[in-house]
Amino acid sequence: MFNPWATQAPTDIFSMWSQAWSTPPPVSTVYAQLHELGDAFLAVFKAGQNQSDQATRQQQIEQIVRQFTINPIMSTFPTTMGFASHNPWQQLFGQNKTLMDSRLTGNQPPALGIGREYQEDWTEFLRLQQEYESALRKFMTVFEKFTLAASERFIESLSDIDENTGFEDVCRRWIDCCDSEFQEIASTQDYCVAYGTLINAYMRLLRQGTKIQEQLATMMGQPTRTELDNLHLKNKQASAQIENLNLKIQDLEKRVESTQSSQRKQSTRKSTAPKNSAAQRKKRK
Amino acid sequence: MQNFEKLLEESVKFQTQLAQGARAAADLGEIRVGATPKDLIDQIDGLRLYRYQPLSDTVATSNPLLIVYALVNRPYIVDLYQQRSLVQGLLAQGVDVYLIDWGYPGPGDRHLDLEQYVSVLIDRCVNQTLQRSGATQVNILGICQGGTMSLCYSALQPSKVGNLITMVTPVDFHTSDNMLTHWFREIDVDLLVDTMGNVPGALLNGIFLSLKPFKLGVEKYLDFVKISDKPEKVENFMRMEKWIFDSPDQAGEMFRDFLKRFFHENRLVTGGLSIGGKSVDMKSVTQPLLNIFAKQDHLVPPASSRALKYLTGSNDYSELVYDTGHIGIYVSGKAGRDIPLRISNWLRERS
Repeated sequence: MFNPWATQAPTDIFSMWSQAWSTPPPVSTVYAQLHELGDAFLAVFKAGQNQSDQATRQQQIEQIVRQFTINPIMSTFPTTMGFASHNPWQQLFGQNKTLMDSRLTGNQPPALGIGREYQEDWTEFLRLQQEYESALRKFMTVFEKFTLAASERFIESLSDIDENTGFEDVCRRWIDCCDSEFQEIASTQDYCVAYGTLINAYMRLLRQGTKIQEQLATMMGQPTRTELDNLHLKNKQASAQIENLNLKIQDLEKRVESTQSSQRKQSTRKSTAPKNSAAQRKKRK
Repeated sequence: MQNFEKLLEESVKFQTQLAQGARAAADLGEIRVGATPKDLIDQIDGLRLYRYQPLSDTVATSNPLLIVYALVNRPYIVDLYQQRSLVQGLLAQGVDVYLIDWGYPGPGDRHLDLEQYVSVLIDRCVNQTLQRSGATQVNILGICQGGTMSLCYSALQPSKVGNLITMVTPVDFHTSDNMLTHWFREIDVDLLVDTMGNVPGALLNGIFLSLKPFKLGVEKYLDFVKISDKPEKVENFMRMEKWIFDSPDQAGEMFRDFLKRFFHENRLVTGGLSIGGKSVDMKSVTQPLLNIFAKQDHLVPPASSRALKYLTGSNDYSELVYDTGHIGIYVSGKAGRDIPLRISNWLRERS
C-alpha cells in the first residue's frame, strides 16, 4: 500500500499553488541583474578600448545585444507572466514520478486489483504533466519570436550611438525595443492561443494534482479542499436564506404595524364619533 | 563611443545610486498609506463601509458620494497620502464622501458572485449611506471594475442613484486594443475557477504587469535610481509600490462571472445581462453621467470607456479625458488637482 508520509509533501499545498504562479522578481533582484548588466557593458568596452575601427564597433554592439538578450531579466520573463518554469509537482511527488515514469516507458506492468485506480490517477497526472510541458514548449517557441524581433530592433536602435551614449541610455533603448515589440507579438492570434493553451494545460494538471492530494489527505484523516468548499457553499446558501427571511420578517413587521395603525385609527374614529353625534344632537336641540 | 574612463565613471555613479536607492528603501520601515481620518459605518465579513470626516463647512451637494472601487487592488489609492488624495480634494470642495473597502476575500468568500457584489453588498452600502446621511439618493463614483459594477447597480436600482461618475471604467471589452481580452479569450475560465477556487491576487498582478513588462518591471526601477537621494520621493515611490503589489485574491465565482459576462461575452454592449434573475439594461441608466478616463490607459483602453456614451438612456452625458495612464489618473499632479474640482462642480450643477 502506498505510504503518503513517504512523499515530500509541503505543509501548505495551497500556498505552493499560488507560489508556482511566480510574481515578478523583487526589486533587489532587478537591481542585482541591472548591476550585472552594467558590469558586462563595461567589460565589453574594456576589451575594445583603444580600438575604434568599424569591425570592433560592430563586435561591441553584438556583445551588448547578447548581454541584454541572455540576461536573467529576459530569461526569467516568462515566469513573470504567471507561468512556472519549474513544476512544483515534480518536487512534491518526486518518488512517485520516478515510479510512474518507468510505468509510462513500459518498464513496469500496469497495476491490477486494489492499486489499479490509484495508479490510473497517477498515469493521468503524468499525461497532463506532459501536456503542460508540451504547451510550455509551444509557448516558448512563440516567445522566441519576440526575443528575436526585440534583439533585431535593439540592434537597429544602437546604430546611432556615439561617444556620448551611456549605459543608462542603452538600457532605456533596450526597454523601449522590448516593450514595443512585445505589444505587437502579444496581441497576435498565435500568442493568445499559446497563452490560453498553456494556462488551460496548467489548470488541468493542478486539478488532477488536487484529486491525488485529496486522496492523500483522506488517508491521513485530514479535511480536503472539496470538503471545505462544500461547507463554504452551504454557509453562503444559509446566509442568503437568513437574509431572505430577514427581509420577509421586516416586510411582515411593516404589514403588522400598518394593520395595527389602521386598526388604531378606526378605533379612534369609533370612540370620537359618538361624542360628535352627542354634541351635534345637543346643538340641534 | 565614450572612452573607457568616462564609461567607468558613469558606471560607478550608476552603481552607487543603485545601492543608495536600495538602502533608502530598506531604511523606510513601515510604509504608511491613507491620509484622511474616516469613520467605520458598516461591516459585513471583510467588507467595510467608511465615511471620511469632513474638511469643509461648505456643502457641495445634498447627496453623499459613495466610492465603489475595483476588487483587484486596494481602495486606499484614492487617499494615498496628503498631497495625492482624491478624497481630500473632494472633501475640500464640500463633498460628503463614503467608500467601500472590499477587504481581502478569503477561501470562505469563494462563492461570492456578481449578484452578491452588486445586488447585496453594494445595495447594503447604498442603504447604509442613505440612512446615515439622511439623503434620498446617493451619487456614485465607480472606479475601474467598480465602475462596471456601479453601472449594473444603477441599472437595477435607478431610484437610489442620483448621479453616476465612472472613472477608467471598462465598458466595451471587445475593442481591438484590449490586450487583456485577447489573452483571456482562450482561457477556460470554468476550469480555472474550479481548479483554483479564489484567483490569487499575485497571479492577476503578474498578468497586469506583463501587459508592459519592461516598462513596469525594469524601467520603473531605473527611474527610481534618479530619486534615490530624495527621501520624500523614495517614500512616495514605495507607497505606490506597496499599493501595486497589495493585491487581494479574487472571489472565484465573481471572477468567473466577470470574465464570462464582460471579457468573453461583452454583455454591457451586446445586451442580455442579468444579475440575480433581473435584467440589466443599460438604457435604464438614465442618471446624469460623468465619464472620466485616461488617454494612455494600458489596462482599460480609452475606447473601452468611451463606449458608454452611446449605451445608456441618459441624456446628460459628459466626458473628462486626461493625458495620463491608468494609475496616473489617481496620482499625477495635474489630474489629482483637477479631478476633485471638476467632479464637485459637475455634482453641484446637478444637485
